[in-house]
Amino acid sequence: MPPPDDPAISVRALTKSYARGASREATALKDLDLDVSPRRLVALVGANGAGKTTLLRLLAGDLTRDAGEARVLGEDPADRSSRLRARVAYVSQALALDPEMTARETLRLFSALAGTPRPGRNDRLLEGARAFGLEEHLEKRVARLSGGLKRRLHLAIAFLGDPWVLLLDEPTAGLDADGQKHLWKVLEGHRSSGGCALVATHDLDEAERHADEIVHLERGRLVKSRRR
Amino acid sequence: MTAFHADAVRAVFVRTWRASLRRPVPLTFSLAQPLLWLLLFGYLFQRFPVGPRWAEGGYAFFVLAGICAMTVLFGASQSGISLIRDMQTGVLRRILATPAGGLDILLGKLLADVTRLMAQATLVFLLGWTLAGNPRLYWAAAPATLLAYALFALAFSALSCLVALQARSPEGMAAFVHLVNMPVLFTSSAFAPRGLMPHWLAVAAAWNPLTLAIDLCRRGLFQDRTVDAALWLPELLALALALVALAAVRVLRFEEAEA
Repeated sequence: MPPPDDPAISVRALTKSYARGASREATALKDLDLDVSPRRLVALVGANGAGKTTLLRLLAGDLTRDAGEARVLGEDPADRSSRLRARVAYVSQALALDPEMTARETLRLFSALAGTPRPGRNDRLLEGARAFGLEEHLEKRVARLSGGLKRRLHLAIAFLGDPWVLLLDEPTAGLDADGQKHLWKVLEGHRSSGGCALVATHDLDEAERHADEIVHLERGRLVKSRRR
Repeated sequence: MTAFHADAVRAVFVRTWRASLRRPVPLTFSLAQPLLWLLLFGYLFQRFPVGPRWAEGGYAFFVLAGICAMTVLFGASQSGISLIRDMQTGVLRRILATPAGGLDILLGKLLADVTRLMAQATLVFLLGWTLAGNPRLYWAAAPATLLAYALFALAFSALSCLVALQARSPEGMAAFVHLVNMPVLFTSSAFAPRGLMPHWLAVAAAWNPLTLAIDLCRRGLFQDRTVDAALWLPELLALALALVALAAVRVLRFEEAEA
């Protein structure tokens, strides 16, 4: 983990636009500054199109920025280094699961790809499944899981490699109360062990209850940041 | 290769094999189709003058090497379809975001596809050989024959993955499969010896990498004639390495193109 005083995520004057037609551009982020320290859960809130997903994707190295600086654990996320990919997990809002695999096979595959050592892999897999209440559904094909269980599996994958930085896009969408409880408990455990998370959400109550800081975005700009 | 990367390749290999076994309809069809072709072509051209060397087994035995090549060609050309499926479900993007990286994923997938195709071609061969009346085989040439078919399978599977990453749609893949399979098959020596082809077709067949594997099978495994490895190995190896390298570059650039 990085030293507690160094920001795990640091963004300065970050700008990103998308082409819209031949001559027009839509600005998704404009001159955004943000720091996220270790041991912090930061909620990103804002209306649709405020720039939450773009920010998360830029920090995951999934998009390239137009201008400004971005550092995650001291590295430029656009470099997509293997070291950074091992320490940063991005969970998209859209589910990314193979419907023909079982939940166990899915967790086992991503566990191997995340670099979990083989001797302890099964224990790590069961631990991840338990954390999200999936232990009774491990032998079911993804196609047969309910929407909420798919979301839990989608989230559980992110924790398999013990990442330091979590970038979660609407992680509670489609989760029932029990699923949400599991998620926030896991996130609080992640924070206690020195990690940090940036969580995009539309649920202000949820953000108020669990986050250490709430960052409001509006049309790609940071309009308000409130620490709790 | 580190233990981590070897483990990642193994995980993708297992996943790819399991996915194939879970689709019994395409798997059965991929075995039934070559056997049907073998029966139809075997009977249709049973009087085709392939030469005195084929007195035992006849045309059905002659065409068996071509039918096995067809099994490999048709199967390998569809290798990229699972990549399209992974793109559509978002799984490919997620896999590429892991520390394992694109090369491990490509290698695991290609190894699984090549071993599956070799298993299918071997099964087709054994069934076809039985249908042809178990003519004599010269097993010493079997390893070289398998290697030649495997290199062709690797090359064409890599090409299929390359096309999938470029086309990104099932329609694009279908166009590739329909456009390429038949010309590659019919401009090889799969169904007729080059000596009986029109000149232009014989020239095309001589340049076709599928011909190298088919001719090696016929001469070595069927007729116990010595075939110098320098006549087939460098060409098939270079083709396979070149196409795997191109597919690897395309995988590594996949995310950049998306961004």
